[in-house]
Amino acid sequence: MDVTTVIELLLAGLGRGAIYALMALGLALIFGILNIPSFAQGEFYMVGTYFGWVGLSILGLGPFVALLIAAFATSLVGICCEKILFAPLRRFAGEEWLVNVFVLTLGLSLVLQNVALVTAGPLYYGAPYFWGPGTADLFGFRISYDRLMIAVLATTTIVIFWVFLKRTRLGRTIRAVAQNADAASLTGVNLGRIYTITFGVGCMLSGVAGALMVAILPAYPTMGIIPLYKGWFVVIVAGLGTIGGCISIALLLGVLEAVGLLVASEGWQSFLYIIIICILLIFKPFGVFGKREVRGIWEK
Amino acid sequence: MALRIGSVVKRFGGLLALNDVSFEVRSNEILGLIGPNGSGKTTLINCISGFYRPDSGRILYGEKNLTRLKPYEISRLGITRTFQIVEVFPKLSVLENVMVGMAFSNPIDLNETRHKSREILEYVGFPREEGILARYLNTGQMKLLSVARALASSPKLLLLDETVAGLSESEQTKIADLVKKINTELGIAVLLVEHATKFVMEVCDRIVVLQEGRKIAEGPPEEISKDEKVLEAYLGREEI
Amino acid sequence: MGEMKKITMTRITWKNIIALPSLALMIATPFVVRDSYISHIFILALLYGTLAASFDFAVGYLGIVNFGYAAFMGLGAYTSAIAAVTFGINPWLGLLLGGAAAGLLGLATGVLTLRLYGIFVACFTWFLGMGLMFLVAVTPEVTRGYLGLSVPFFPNVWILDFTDPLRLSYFTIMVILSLSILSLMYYLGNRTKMGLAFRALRGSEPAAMVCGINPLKYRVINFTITCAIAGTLGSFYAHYIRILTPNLLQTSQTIQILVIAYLGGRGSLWGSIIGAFLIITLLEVLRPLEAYRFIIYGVILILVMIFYPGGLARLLTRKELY
Repeated sequence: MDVTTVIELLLAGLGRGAIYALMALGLALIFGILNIPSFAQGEFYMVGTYFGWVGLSILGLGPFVALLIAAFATSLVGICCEKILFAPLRRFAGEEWLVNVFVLTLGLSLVLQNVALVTAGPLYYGAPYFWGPGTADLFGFRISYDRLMIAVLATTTIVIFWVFLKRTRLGRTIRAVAQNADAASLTGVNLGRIYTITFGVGCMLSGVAGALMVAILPAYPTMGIIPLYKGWFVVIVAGLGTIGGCISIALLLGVLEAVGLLVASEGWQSFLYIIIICILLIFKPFGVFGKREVRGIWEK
Repeated sequence: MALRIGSVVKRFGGLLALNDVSFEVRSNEILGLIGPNGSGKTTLINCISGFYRPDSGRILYGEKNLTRLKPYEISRLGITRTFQIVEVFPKLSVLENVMVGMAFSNPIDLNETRHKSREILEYVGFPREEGILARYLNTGQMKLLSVARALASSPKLLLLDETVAGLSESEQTKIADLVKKINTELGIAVLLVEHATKFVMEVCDRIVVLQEGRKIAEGPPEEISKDEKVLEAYLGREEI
Repeated sequence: MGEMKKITMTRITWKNIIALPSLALMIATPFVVRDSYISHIFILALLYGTLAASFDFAVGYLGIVNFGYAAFMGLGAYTSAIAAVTFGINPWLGLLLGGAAAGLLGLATGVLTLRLYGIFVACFTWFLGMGLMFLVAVTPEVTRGYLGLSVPFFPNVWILDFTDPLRLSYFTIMVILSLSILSLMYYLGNRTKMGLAFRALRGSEPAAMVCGINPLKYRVINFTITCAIAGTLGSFYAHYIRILTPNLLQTSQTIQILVIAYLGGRGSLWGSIIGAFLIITLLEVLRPLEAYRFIIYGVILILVMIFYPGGLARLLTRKELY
């Protein structure tokens, strides 16, 4: 195998990794700030994909606009869920919040999957291209325009997200809530609003991931399971550490996967993922690098 | 067999709950453990019974060091306890509550367990029917039930954590008599944690006094009631 | 009347009075009606009711929610099916094999995870179920994956002809299996030291510990038993439905069992059976709503989670087994 192929694999892997990073960041954000281990996040990915398809194939809009529509539509769905489901649960919450909310997300996942099944049907809905046909020549390495733009836009989204979190007032407020919700609310922060916004942002990230991939992974109702466990894989390994940690693990994963595909089929990879997750959960339930606390992710 | 508590230290974050506590519970005595709120009495009981692990020090029962053992392992060694906030099995009947105490420390079948548990209930003079669900008892009866349950596991050392708190005079006397009976008739050693100092003075052979995690006095009741440090610790509180 | 709990063997309550005739009615109906479809409904209702009761055995006593429960059932199903198809093993033996396989996995899972918090067990079992489903899907050489594994009938025994389209022989076996399992759970829960330990742990874990009860040991025992039961029922299902796909193991199936356990099983073992009958007949009657079945389950689950602050375990813990 020559260097060119290796580099090309690497590029493809990084592109994948960026998508996984979006999923992982969404999960980590929602878990870190709202203390919700969301097992419905894959369904928000799915929603994003459907909206991406609508934007690209039905409305014939360009990739940027379609992406924006998908992002906002998905976050809207997320916001509705937060207000209708999670906010009331928080109000009625018993001592067993974590188990309850986990089960609730499973129920939500089931509902979203089957609503999609009932409304859109069991067929696959995609688009031939996200960006356009053809292959780009990047300093002598070939990568399809689609994958290139997916990687670029995914990275851009992550950067925007990072800037939002670190540099904007809203972002700082969100991080303050993550550190200490009670203290934050004492300084006048409206916790409910922050929770809703944060959940919306988390869903937006997943929706963007889904929409970006619409040409590669077309929309169908139960597609969400794979992005879900891959996202959780990253979060479990990175242990809810820093944003950087999540992203690096995600990129690493993307590359490993791209290489791994030469050896094992997609199916066996799925199985391997789960096995590793199971082992990690038993022996290192708080993450390979993480500390024992489950919240406090954005403390850096 | 004596219970020897040696230099036990227990911290919770920045708080030093037990600070180098040492004393002994002899094999046939009733030892009282008293002290103002927050002096570490219940913490010590939790350490002895395996619910907390001391940061340093040893708790020896005979040859065995209890500090690394789990509560159910310690129970098998013959040490059992009651809880400050009384713990019964609310949806089990009175008889079944006692049966639980007996069934897992004795290799006997359920029928025999039932018979023997009845005997225990009789021995403690439990005032109500054996078929009543424990959740319907009043506090005093629940406390008596938990003592009965503790007895059922054939202990050699009984740790009683604030058994008479909140009970009426007559109920306290009943418990006091029961504790003495257990000690003299069955030869069971008792370590008694209490707030009600009058009760302790009457029942116990010796008393250990804790304050803010330290032992400040140890000796027979007459001595303790005159001890300067003890009186100071209880200043403004109950008359000893 | 609620205060007293008679320690005697039988209690004359209105539940007892209704129970026996209802039971007789339930057993007799398929034989009287002699309709293949009715037999099918009754078999499924009994099957899911027993599964729910068994699922509840873990939740109700020990607050352990096994989110991979359907996968344990599926493990039993595939074990028995593959044993029959690839190794020619008698399906009757397959019942035992399926139960054993699921029980062993349950034992391993229990030992490894039950010392952790409830959320970990819930999460872990969810992933485990997923892993099992992937394993089945990714080994089509053995399991035929999504193409479907064709499973043989039970071999005919005495007067029981399993090729009979009326499925009455299957119904008979289902009844026997179901009653045996329910009786076993009742016996274990109420007439053994083990059951006393379960009930004590449910009442107060600290008090149970000072009585010499090792919580982990009993959690593992309980968990293993429920998994073994799921496996056995799965094996039966394999030879009944006679075609298996990995979809049998997915989360939505566990949720179905969970919903049945909640809706019916809050009271008792019988409650699970009744709940199953209600739900399954309801779904059959509302045939046009078939597509919405899982939406309904999901919504029920969500509503339960929101409006019962004690949550799933607390809810299902309000059980008096009898």
